[in-house]
Amino acid sequence: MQKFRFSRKSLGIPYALYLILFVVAPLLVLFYYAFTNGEGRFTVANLTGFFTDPNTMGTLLYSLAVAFVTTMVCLLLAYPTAYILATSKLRMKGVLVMVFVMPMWINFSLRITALKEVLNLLEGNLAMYPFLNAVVGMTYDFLPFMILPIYTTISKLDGSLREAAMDLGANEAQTFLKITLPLSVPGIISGVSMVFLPAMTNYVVLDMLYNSTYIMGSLIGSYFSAYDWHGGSMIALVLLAIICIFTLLMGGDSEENARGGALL
Amino acid sequence: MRNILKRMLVLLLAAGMLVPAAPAKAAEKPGKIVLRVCNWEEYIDEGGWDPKEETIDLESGAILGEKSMVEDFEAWYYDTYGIEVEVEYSTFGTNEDLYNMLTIGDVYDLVCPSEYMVMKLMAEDKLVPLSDNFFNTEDPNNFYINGVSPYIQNILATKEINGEAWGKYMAGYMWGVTGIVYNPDVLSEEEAATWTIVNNPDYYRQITIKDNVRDSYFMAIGALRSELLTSESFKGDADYPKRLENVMNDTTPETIQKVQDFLQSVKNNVYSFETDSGKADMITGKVVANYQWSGDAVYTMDQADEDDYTLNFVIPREATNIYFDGWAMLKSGVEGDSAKQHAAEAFINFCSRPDNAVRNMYYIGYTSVIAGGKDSRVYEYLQWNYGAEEDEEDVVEYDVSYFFEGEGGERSHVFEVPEEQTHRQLGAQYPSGENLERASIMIYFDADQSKAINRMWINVRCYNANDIPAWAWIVGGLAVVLLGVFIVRSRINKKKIGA
Amino acid sequence: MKKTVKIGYIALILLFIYIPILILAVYSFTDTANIGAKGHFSVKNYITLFTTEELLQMIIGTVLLAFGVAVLATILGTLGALGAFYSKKRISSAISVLNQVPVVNADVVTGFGICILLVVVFGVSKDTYIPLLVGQTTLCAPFVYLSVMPKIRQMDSSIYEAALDLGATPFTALWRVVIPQIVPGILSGFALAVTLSLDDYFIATYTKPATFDTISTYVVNATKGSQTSIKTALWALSTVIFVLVILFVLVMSLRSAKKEEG
Repeated sequence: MQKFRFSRKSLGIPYALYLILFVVAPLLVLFYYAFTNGEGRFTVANLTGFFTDPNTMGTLLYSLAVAFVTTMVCLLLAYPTAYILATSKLRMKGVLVMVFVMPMWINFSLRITALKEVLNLLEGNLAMYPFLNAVVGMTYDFLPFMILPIYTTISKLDGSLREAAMDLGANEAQTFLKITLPLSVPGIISGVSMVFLPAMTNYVVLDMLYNSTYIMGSLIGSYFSAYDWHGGSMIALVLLAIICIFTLLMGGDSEENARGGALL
Repeated sequence: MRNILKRMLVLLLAAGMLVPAAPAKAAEKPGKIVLRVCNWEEYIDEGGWDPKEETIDLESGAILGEKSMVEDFEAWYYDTYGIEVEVEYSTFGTNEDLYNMLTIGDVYDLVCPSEYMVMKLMAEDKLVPLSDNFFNTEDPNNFYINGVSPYIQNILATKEINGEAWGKYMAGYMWGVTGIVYNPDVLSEEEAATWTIVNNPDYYRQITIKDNVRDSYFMAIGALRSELLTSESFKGDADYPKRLENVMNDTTPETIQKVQDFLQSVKNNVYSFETDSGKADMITGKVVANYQWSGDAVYTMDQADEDDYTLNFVIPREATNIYFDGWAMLKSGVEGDSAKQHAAEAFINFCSRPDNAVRNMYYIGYTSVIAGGKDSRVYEYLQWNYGAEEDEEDVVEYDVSYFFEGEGGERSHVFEVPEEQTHRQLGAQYPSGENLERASIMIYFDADQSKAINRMWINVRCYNANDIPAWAWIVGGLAVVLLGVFIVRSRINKKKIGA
Repeated sequence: MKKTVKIGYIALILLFIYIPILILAVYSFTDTANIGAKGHFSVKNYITLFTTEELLQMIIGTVLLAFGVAVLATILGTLGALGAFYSKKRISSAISVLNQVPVVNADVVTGFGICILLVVVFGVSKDTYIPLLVGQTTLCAPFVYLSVMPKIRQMDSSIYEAALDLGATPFTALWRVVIPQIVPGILSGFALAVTLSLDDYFIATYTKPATFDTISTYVVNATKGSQTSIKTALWALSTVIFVLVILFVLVMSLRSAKKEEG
């Protein structure tokens, strides 16, 4: 038997095994549950059930809408902020940016507690307007995740391009529309993917704000806690499929930024 | 190279060790019993009472919670049996949460769910029966069997599942009924005393209801069958209690569908579903009525009293759910470990000692199943708490003999209380015998029934695709088309640049 | 745009982000349990926070867990990135696709999947902390991988060849030459892993031992109840973390400012 020889490739073995054991295997388990019924027989009833039940479909569309509106609101709030920060010539700019990013290091449950208390103070925790309640909560939670990647992209832009445009007679609005905005699309994309996906699934935010309408995450969680693992696994797989389509649409190259690549 | 490997190994080990190090401070000494108890949130005395203001001065001696019940138990057990026990105490939010925690691998020795969940666990053979010694009335440390109310014990001994009485597996802890806490400045008792109030458009977005499937189901049937349930012929039926129980636990598909439709409309009328926020929302005046368990109702009214704000409690005229939260030992925890089982049963007994029952009642507002037997402190506490002052006007006699004596007693547990108390804390904590006539238990649903009503409940919480307004379809469609065009265009641009 | 408009806008966004946290911070120094109610100055929340054993254990446990997970995730993720970089294209793209799964998947699904696999299929007890460690590591390692990978790509590979030519064993060359070049990526991956673990709720809730709580699971459960002394102590916790983060940010920016000057 040949003695084991160190090679750089073999460095990847532990991680590859880990991925197979703890990423592939759980997915297989989910597949097993999704395509079987209570007696362990193969069935596609869970799949057809998902697409024919107005409640699951309604929840899917509803959470897409929540995620979409949340993403748009975050974008509208974050883009100007990031733009102003990136183009300003303040001396303490670095500190200011940190100030915007800081909430990410405070545990989300504590931040949402704070938000809840303030909403309570304003007479009405918005629980009776589930959609608004969801959008406000999610926006509050995810806004920094939108600001940071956009800021990073804009501040990396070559300033001379903008100056050149100005020199050629473009005004600030034109420069922005023709130069800055198109070039900051990668930042927008990574911000969007950091906000959109969690906004469909992070149901604890809603639970903490007394929201009684489910989004996809709460739907999956409630199937799991109602011991209906078969239905729950199917919904989880459908969601995963949607996420994959979404990620592909947003462009494969942005994926390395997703959720935290730009965080530090 | 060996050096590096070693270092890596150390790092790996460190990572493995680091974590359990702190929480596993129960680095168990040999002989020490670790008892894992899981109870409802805020469901036991946690001590720290103010001796000046909170001492309960009874004829048979003062009662004060200095340390938490759990700490006191640990000390008591050591003093009594000479064995060290450490209680790892944790809490759950709903019966369903607890069951779910158990199915996905949490291990407890002693849990305190409601009766229907105990029945479910019994039916699934997950429980260890209480030992014979636990029911031995000779042992003075058996506070439970010597102190439990005959009324409660009668129910536990007669209700059966698969031919076995509940009482064989479950020792009662707290009990109560469900009803409505309401603000008498806004609603009359007449208006509030019905389950249909949750669907009353006059109080649009001003009512909160319970966020769990069984309570909502019960409420919905109460409202849907309101006419039948309040009719004289139904109430006069010789078999009324049994019929009531059947109606309130009806799980035919048609009923489930009706309940789903009803709850969906309720969802658009109430302020929110809640697990615990209802109490605070009531006290701050954000809502005017709240579907509540009697114990939490007492707590709510107490808190409101402190702010000079009056809230009342009423038991709906259709029916009320009488529930029992009780201790049960899990096979996964105590089976085959007699020392642990002994400690678990001792924990139940310790909580049942009359002074401890009073402490828990005072602290959490619920009603203990303990009447006290020969020990009169529970009844004294009741008088201390609610008895009328000597010069008070507008007093009525209140009879709680059913609880302290059971049937066929001397009916001597009657005392004078201010009239208003019958609509308030007292009426909630020890409902009158008359109100209890329309009490029904929740029976346990088997796997298929559970699945059906769980699905129903999820559907209620979902957004129904049929409710999507036309404009939303149009806006959504437009957004999708625009996004599609945008993505395709940017793809094409990219390719052009690339080429 | 006018400068005042810009500053005004920035200020508004900052207010939106910070008003809740600041209000909570102010009220953490009072004796009232309701935000908006009148209260008197009091530090009792801080006393509760630092004297309640349950709270302290929960905080220490969360921090230790985060570092344990981060160490594991950093080792796995870094090795994985190196291995994938030097492997054949097919293998390396397979690894990077699988690596992507926990990144994009909903955490509730990741957590549940691992819980079912380990606890139900393999029968591992949650009390061993293994499901929790594995679960959070599965969440964090891919991010380490993602933050190390770009550094490997930027690395100058000729130095490694040169080291080999000079007689170093592949392992020494790797340790002495490659690793130092990617240290920034490893460090930021580590920090990212710590952050993710600290913030995680979903994985922990499905995989943690029954009697152990992280800050997230504890706070989420506590806010459902109305146990006021604990709840207000959590305001104090929020304030303490807030202050720590501010200090950290200040120190970091002062240091980077100094670097720029020097």
